Amino acid sequence: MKILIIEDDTEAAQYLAKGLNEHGHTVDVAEKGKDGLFLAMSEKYDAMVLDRMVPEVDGLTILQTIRAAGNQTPVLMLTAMGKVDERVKGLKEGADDYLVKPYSFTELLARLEVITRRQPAEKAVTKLSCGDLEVDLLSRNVTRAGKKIDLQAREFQLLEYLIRNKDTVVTRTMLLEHVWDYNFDPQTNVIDVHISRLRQKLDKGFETSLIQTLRGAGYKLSAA
Amino acid sequence: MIEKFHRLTHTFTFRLAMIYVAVFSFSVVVLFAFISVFAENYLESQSRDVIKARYQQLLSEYQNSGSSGVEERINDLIRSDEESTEIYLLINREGEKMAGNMGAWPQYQTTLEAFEKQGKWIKFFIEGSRTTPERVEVRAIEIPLSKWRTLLVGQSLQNYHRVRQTLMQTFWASLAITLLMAFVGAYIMTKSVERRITVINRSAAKIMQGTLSERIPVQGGGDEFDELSENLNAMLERIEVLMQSLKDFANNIAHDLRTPLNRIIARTETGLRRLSADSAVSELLVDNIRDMQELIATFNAILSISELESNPTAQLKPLEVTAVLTNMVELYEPYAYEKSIELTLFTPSKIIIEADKHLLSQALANLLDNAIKFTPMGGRIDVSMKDENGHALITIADSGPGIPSEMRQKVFEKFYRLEQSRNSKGNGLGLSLVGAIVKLHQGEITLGDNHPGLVVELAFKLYAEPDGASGLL
Repeated sequence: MKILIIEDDTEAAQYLAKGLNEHGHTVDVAEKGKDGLFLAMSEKYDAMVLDRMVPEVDGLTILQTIRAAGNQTPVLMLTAMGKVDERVKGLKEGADDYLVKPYSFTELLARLEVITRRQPAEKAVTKLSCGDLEVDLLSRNVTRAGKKIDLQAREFQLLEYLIRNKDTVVTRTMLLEHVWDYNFDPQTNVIDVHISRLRQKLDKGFETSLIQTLRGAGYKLSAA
Repeated sequence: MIEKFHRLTHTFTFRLAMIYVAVFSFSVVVLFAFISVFAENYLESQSRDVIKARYQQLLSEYQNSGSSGVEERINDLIRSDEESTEIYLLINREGEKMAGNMGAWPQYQTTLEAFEKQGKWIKFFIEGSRTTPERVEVRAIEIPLSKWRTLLVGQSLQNYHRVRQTLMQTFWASLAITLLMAFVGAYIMTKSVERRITVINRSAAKIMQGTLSERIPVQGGGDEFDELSENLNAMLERIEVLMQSLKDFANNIAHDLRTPLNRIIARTETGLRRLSADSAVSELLVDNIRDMQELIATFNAILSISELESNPTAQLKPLEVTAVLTNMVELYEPYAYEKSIELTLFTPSKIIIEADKHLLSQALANLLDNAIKFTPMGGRIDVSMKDENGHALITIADSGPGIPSEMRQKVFEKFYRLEQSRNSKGNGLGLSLVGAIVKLHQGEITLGDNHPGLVVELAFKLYAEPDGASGLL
């Protein structure tokens, strides 16, 4: 993927660029708002990492400008302190996701991958599958190898988010934000318990586990 | 009312005023004592002058006209004495009465001092008569006019008694008026001083509750209270600056350490990616990253608390708190289940308060987290909500070890950890954050005893629909 980073902290931008390079992405870095806006308007990117506070033109204005110009490139916004209002404002202006600094690279990578793969018009999709697992979003039927699995409402939402982003790592914070709509830091990993419950239901009577735990990163729903 | 009076009488000003009342009353007493002594002396000397003048008249009458002249003269004098205060008695050598208005020589007389050569001043009492019902004191001269005649000239002090009576009446009236005025004055003084002190006390109470920016109003008259207020304000100014710099210092540390910490995480992650997943080193690096993320979480918590405390910018909106609580309990239910803890929830259908959803959720999450963490396997946690007296009351009662009552206020302090929780995970900021969030919502948090266990009670004011508003949310 070709990714544009607009971030004024040189070192942070470099680490980000390096990490993304290692994962096979091409990266452009702009340290000033004007340069960033110019690049965003003139080049075609698969995703953008946009700092909320950059000199010259601030992140929010850049976002507004490119969205007003019809540019639908997925944008991940970064902000210094986790103010709820900031996050809401960013998402309202068209950011696809929002991450609070300091973030971990894994978190950023996972989020970038999720927002870039969400591109195809997903509204039309009513049936999702992963290996022998099938999820009907309308009837809310879940089957594995034809065997019906009963899920509670929240478990279904959790599975829906995982299957929409199958083969991609999703972090615990992402789950908390998107499935529960909370953005705070739980002291304990409550999410783990929910995942293990879901996993038990999905894997009961099967040899292979569909939900993988990636240490230090998060979870991945995958058939392989 | 009684309590108010009781409180008033226990103030310093009231005691001061009472001392003034006592001093005033005492001076009235002294003043009247002086007046009374002077009046007595004056009246007595006047009386003596009259007696002496009468004696001179009678003496010269005796020298001129002999005994019969004196007798006639005495009768004249008695007749012309309209107030009948004058007393005369003339006796012969055998002690027989020759003239006068006394039956016999006074028996219980007291000798005062000598008068001329042979005479003496005496004092005695005569029993009540037609005009004066009481016993009356008499001043008199007893003096021999010659070998054959002895004369007693005197005057009763009934006028003096009358004066003394009037004086006493005036005294009591003055004392009553003085006391009344003094009490009124004391009340006004106590009240006005109390008013000024109350203003200072009220400000002090607000400051103690954490509003360090509060200042004591200065009335502008430049009196000693204004001076006190100004000095206290200057002191507060100084404390606020110090507190702020302390807070800034802590915040700066938290803020500045996050950046290098983040870089360390980034580098570690980079290193981790270069290792194969099953390398023994990678496990160490993952643990390092986890610990560093915990550090960042601690710093974030410090910064969140200080932000909540310093500029409460959160936008409170009407929020159906029942749903938030239900969701939060649902989020933690599997965690409790894993520890075989029975987690129950009881809520009424709908309660609306003004709140920030994310902050309130964070507070509830921290409380539930703590409850589950400290409740032993097989214990129970009861979460309930009700609306009471215009407040939403959320109760989280666990069957854990509880918190000793003397520690209940301390656990809200940053980094304070109970002995029993030293070994468990956590940074000692969870309850501080809860406290800050509750305060931001102008709610109240109380910790109680669940016999055994801890009861946390949160109270938030119910959202009052503005007039004319129809639907909500």
